[in-house]
Amino acid sequence: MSLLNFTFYFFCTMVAGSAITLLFVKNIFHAALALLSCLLGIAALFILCMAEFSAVAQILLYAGGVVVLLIFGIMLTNKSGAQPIAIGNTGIFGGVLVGGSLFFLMLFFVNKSIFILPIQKPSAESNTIKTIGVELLTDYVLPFEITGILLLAVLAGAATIAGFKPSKN
Amino acid sequence: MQGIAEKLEWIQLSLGYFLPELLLCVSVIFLLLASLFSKAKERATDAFALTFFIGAFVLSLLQYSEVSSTIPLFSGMLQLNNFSTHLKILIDLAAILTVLLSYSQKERKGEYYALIATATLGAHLLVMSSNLVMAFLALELISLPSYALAAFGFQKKSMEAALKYFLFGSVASAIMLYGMSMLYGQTLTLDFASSTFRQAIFDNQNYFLVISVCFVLVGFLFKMSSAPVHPWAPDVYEASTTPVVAFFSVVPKLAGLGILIHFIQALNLGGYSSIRWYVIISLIAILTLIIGNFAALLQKNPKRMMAYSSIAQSGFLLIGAITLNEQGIAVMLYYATAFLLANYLVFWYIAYFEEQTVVEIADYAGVGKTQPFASIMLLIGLISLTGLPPTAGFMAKLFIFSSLWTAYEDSQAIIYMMLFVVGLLNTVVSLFFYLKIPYQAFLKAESRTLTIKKSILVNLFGIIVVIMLLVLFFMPSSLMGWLNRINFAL
Amino acid sequence: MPIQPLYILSALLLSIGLVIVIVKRNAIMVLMGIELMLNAANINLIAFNQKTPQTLDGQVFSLFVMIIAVCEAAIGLAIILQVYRHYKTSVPDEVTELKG
Repeated sequence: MSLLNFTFYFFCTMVAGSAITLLFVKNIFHAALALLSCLLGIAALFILCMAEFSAVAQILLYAGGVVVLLIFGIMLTNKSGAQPIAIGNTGIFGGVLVGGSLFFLMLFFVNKSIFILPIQKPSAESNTIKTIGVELLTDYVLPFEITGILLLAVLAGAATIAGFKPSKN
Repeated sequence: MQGIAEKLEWIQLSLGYFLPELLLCVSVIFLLLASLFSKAKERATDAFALTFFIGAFVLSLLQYSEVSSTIPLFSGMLQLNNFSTHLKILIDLAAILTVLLSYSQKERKGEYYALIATATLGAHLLVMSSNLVMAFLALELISLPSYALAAFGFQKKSMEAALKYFLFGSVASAIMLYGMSMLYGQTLTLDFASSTFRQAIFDNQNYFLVISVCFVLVGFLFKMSSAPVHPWAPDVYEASTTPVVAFFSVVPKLAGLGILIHFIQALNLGGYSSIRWYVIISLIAILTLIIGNFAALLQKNPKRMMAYSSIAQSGFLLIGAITLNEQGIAVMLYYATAFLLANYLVFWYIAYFEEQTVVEIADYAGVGKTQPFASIMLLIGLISLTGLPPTAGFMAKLFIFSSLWTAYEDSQAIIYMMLFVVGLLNTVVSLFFYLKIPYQAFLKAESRTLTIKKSILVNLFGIIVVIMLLVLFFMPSSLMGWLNRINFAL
Repeated sequence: MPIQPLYILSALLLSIGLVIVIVKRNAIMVLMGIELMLNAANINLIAFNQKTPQTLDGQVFSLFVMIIAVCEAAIGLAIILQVYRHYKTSVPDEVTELKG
């Protein structure tokens, strides 16, 4: 087993392990940390798949954005301070049944030919970041610009909702 | 790198066909800015929003006469054809009517209209999408402002509805995204109008493809509030403000329908697909019709009833997606037009009665005697939704069923027959819940006196819509002639 | 990197995300489940993109997915905060003014 393979399976295990931890953890703050380790593991997998830019974005947006937002949310809805929010469970049987059957359904197809990677030499010429930059401003220019409008609207919407104070009566 | 010049030229050319959407982009920014500077002038914001939507409506209308065949835009991100243009016209019409209906909205007008404009822009893009990235983004462009809009009543109940809508919607779009990623794995392209995609679909006709497509459909059906992803609708409809609900019941539905038809059309491979997609859509339509109509019978709140009614109506709209020929599409668009008008008419008068604190169906007792005009208007809207003459709804249902019957005679598929029977049965069932409100209004005695607000504007709007509904009944060819120009070849 | 293990991993993340969404009773926890599901799709996109290294469709798609995930988290937390303000809880099951 080469070092590369070892790293790959190490991060796979790490992601799977943190995701499973997320399922069983009782304290919501610990859950956020498990999510963080899961997301960072995924970023590492992206690098191994030659997607450096996506990996960096994953760390910046998810670890730096989403997880921090979630932790803010946890702190703002947990004003009692000392007592961490315990996460209760409901409908465990149904949930596990649905999730488990979905997993085995997906697993059923794992031997299909589309999952076999053709052997190819990684070319040293390829420059992912440059290609992504060009694609974003040519083929994907419309989604790219529309994302700007979306961010603006979401910002306005979220600020309006979160900032609204009901009048006292 | 030499392709870049051509791509840039393509982008430049595409902008000429992108004017309605550009106007909507400008309106989002402008409305947000206007809300910063003119806090006091609410009516000015109304006027701005109305002007922008009328502008988008006119530009879409101009596009309809300009476009004769399918035009790919922005490197194949979008495809402009008459089908999508007609849906865009309907979407803009719905946005205009929503602005007119929003006269009672008091809080945060600027942001409110900006979010409506964003969702309208998303609907525009979704009906034109021919790329999975664009479809996902456009769908989120409708969803995310919708979650915010659902909360715009700023009351306890509307926050709860927004939370449910948000959680349900995010899960639906996550599942859709997973389906898209599996489709990408099989086809290695994101452009579902391209020949690469069709070739790959042709080579991979198996259960994995069926499951991927079903995952993708979850997202589209969620937007249409069609079964099995409908449970968000009743809560959101009950708790959100009436104009927002009217918007939700039309715009995302039409947009979801547009992308669904484009997508199924691509998968159908012009009839060469060995997987019979119409069976899946038919089963969904049957389920939607049954759930929508039978659950509506039990409702006591008019908005909750309208939620189930809108679920049932999306079942009828799905019938248009099944036949996948020009006749079926034209009929479906006729149905969509009639549905839009009748639906807004009903919501308009629900809002009118809501202002007089008539909230539950039982509260309508006796209003037919004290306010005969408004009650008759409401009755006409409900009759059109049921599909009784002399309204457009009757012609629409007649067209839908006759096109379905033709499809059955052509293919002899038993599923069409089942759909036909279920559809007819449900039309009869729908009579019982749609006529609940008129029953209370005209046949029950008045239980309490209401303070009546005379509103000329409300009734003027009502008269215009009723005339349109009647015209569509007596002269269906006026719209059908226009719709038959649709050249539906992807 | 081989696609098969990545596919199994993404299927696992999707299923766990779905289980969290169904089972957990805290709205923020449900949000985490949704993030897991979005990440599952991202892993698939990046993994399949290795088959066509000359075009980066999958990677570009994954970038858009991340942006949407951030937007969803922002809107979601705004709504959760308001719900908390009204109901003093962020447990969806305790928020039951509407029937159904």
